[in-house]
Amino acid sequence: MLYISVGQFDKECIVNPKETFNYRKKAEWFQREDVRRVIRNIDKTEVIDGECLRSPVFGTISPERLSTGCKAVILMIMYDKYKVYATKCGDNCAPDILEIAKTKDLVIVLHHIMRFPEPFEAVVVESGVTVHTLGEFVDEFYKFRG
Amino acid sequence: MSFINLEVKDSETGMQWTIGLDRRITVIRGDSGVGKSELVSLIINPPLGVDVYSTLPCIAADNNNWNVILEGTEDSIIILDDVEAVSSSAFAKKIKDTVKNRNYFLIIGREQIGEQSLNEDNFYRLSYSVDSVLKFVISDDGKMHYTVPFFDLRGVRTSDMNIKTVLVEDSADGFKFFNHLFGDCVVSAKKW
Repeated sequence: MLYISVGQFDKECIVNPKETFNYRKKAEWFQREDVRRVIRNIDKTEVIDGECLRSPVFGTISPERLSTGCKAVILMIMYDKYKVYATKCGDNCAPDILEIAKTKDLVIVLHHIMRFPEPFEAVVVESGVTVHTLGEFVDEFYKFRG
Repeated sequence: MSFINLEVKDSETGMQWTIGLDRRITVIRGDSGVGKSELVSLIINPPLGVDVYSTLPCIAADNNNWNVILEGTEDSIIILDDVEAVSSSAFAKKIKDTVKNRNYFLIIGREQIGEQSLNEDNFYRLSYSVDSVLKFVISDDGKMHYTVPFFDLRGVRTSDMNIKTVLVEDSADGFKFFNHLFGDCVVSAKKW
C-alpha cells in the first residue's frame, strides 16, 4: 500500500535522495530486476554490468549520473524503514512508485501534487483518508498545506 | 525574445538549451531524467566545447549557502536546483528583501515557492506568474531543448462552465488570475 505524508520532514525521512544514493549505493542493487526496471523506465538507461550503465544520451555512465528522481525511487525499493521525499521525483516516476507499493507498505513524503495515473490507491497519512483519484488527493493535500 | 536569455550550446554534439527569463522568478519543473540538473552543471562549470551565452552572470546556490548568495549577489541569475529551502518563508522573505540587488532567479524544482511553513508563525507568500513556470520540450532529433509553459491554460474553456460566482480569498495576484480566467463573476472575499 502507498502512504503519502504531506506534512513536515522527520528524522526518518530521506530528504536528500541524491546524496544518500550516491553515498550508500551498493553494486548488488543493480543486479535486482526491479532496480533495473526503474532505471530503464525513468532514465531510459540499461544496466550493463555491475555499476556500469548505458544511457542513450551520455553513453556509458556510472549510477551517480542517474536522475534524482530515479535515485529516489531506487531508495524506495531498497530502504523499508525510511520515508523518501518524493517531491524530488517527476510525474514519470509515479507508475514505478505505485508498482513498488504493490509489493510492500511504502511511505513517501510529497510537498507537491504528483500526478498519479488513475485510478490509484493511496492513504494520506495525516488524515487516514484513502484516495483513488487526483482530485481526491488534491483535496486532502490542500487541507494540510493550505 | 525574452529580456533575459540563457543559452547553452554544445559544439561537439550540437545540443542546445534555450531559456527565456521573462520575469524575476522562473521555475522549471517536469519529468525526471530530462537533464535539468545536468544543464545546471553545464551552466556553472561548462566543460570543453560547451559555451554559455547569458545576459547576466550565473551563480548557483544550494541549501547551505542560498541566504549568503541572495544577500551578496547583484545583477545576476541565481540558479537553485533542487533546493528544498525555496518552500520556506525565510526564502520568500529574502527574495523580497533583496529586490534592490536586481537578481533573476531560475528555480528548478517542484516545491511551492515560499509557501507557509507549517511550523512558522510569520510567513511570506511569494507571488509569481503561472506563465513563468516552465518545462523543457525536446526536439525530435533530441538536440534542441527549449522551454514552454508548464501550465497550459489555453484549453481551459470557462465558457462551457455554468459558473455564476467565483469567490477568491485575496484581492491581489490571486484575484487577477481568476479574473482573467473567469471574467466579471469573480469576487474577492477581502472586499466584503
